[in-house]
Amino acid sequence: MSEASIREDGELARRCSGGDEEAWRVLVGRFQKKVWHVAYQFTGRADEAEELTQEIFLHLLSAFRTFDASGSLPAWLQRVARNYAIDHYRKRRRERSMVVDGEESEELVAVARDTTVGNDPHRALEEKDLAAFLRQVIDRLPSELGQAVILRDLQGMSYEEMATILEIPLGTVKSRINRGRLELAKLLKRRRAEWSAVLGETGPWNKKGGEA
Amino acid sequence: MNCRRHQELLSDYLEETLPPPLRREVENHVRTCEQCRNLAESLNEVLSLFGSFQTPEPPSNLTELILERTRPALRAIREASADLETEPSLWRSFGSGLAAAAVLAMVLLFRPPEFLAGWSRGVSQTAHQGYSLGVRTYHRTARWIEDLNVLRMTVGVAFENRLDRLNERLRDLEELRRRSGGDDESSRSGLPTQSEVAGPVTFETRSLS
Repeated sequence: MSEASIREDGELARRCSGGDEEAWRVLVGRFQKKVWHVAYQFTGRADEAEELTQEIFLHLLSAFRTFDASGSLPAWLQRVARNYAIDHYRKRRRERSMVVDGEESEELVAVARDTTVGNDPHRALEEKDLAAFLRQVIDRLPSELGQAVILRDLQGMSYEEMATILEIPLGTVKSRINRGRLELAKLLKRRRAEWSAVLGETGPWNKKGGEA
Repeated sequence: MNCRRHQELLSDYLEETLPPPLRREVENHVRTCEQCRNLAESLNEVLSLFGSFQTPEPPSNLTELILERTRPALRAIREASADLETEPSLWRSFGSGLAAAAVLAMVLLFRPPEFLAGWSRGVSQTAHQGYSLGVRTYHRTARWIEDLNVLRMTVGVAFENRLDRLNERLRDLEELRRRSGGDDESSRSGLPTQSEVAGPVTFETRSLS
């Protein structure tokens, strides 16, 4: 990032922090998509992502005092948005508290079975359906596992970044990611088995050598 | 190593971040253990599905929604900034107040000689001085209160942030306790939850003061 653009961003942030409507409009236009992505990855639903995006921008207005004008505005904004989304995720999960630890819970399995994405057995399970199915099931994992999977597999964060942002040791980060993924893998496997039972052994995934 | 230990290493194995001896160890195990092999295949698929996960496009009116939602806060910030520019600082107000007190003390201690000669004129003068001093003091006090409110808000915001963090820790502790020993209501810390104590800093705080 060039020095000039840092200066320009610094000026933009300074004007926004003073309530300048024109500057704010520019900033919203420039970063709304980025914030939307973060919001969607953490919520997995368009309506919730829309609400969360608005909340994040509202929060940004009061967070400008923490912006260091010599740093990168996009990076700072991404960080603030992500931290807010993490807090939001934790709060939402506490509200819908469903604790599953270690063993697969019957409740979790029931949710996986009832998930609306790709519920029609006669429609081939497309990749994007399965990806959407996985995103929905993440929300049913224990909060710290779901959060770790989102940060790593959807946000593409490094282990080190995650350790810093979550304030936990590197080993715990890795362990949570692995446990979260394993839970998802088991659910996916179970889902496939159920579909195979309905469709017989001719499902498109069986050609790839997946288990029935 | 047993299956459980191997499964703990599966992500690292698939992401190829294991040191060679461990990698070989997991590889051998996966080759011979059907359960772990199936799990590794499913895990691999999970990783590839995440790779194809796409965020949909945002709604076309998102900009308007954001601007609409943030408009009152933006206005509050603008008004607050304007106030801060015109209001005297706490220390300047304090200095003026101190100067006014000093003038009053001077008037009371060193009354002019004609005060003794013309009692009635003296009384009238003193009354007038007292009145204008009272008015000035009233105005200054109002400004001090305003400045103190700004100070209180600043300290309040800082304190709320600390409380948020404290509550976060308490909740984590609670969750841990619940998991290890079941849901025991008596083990609740009795401290208020985050939403009871202090939600995110809002601009309503400012408008109340």
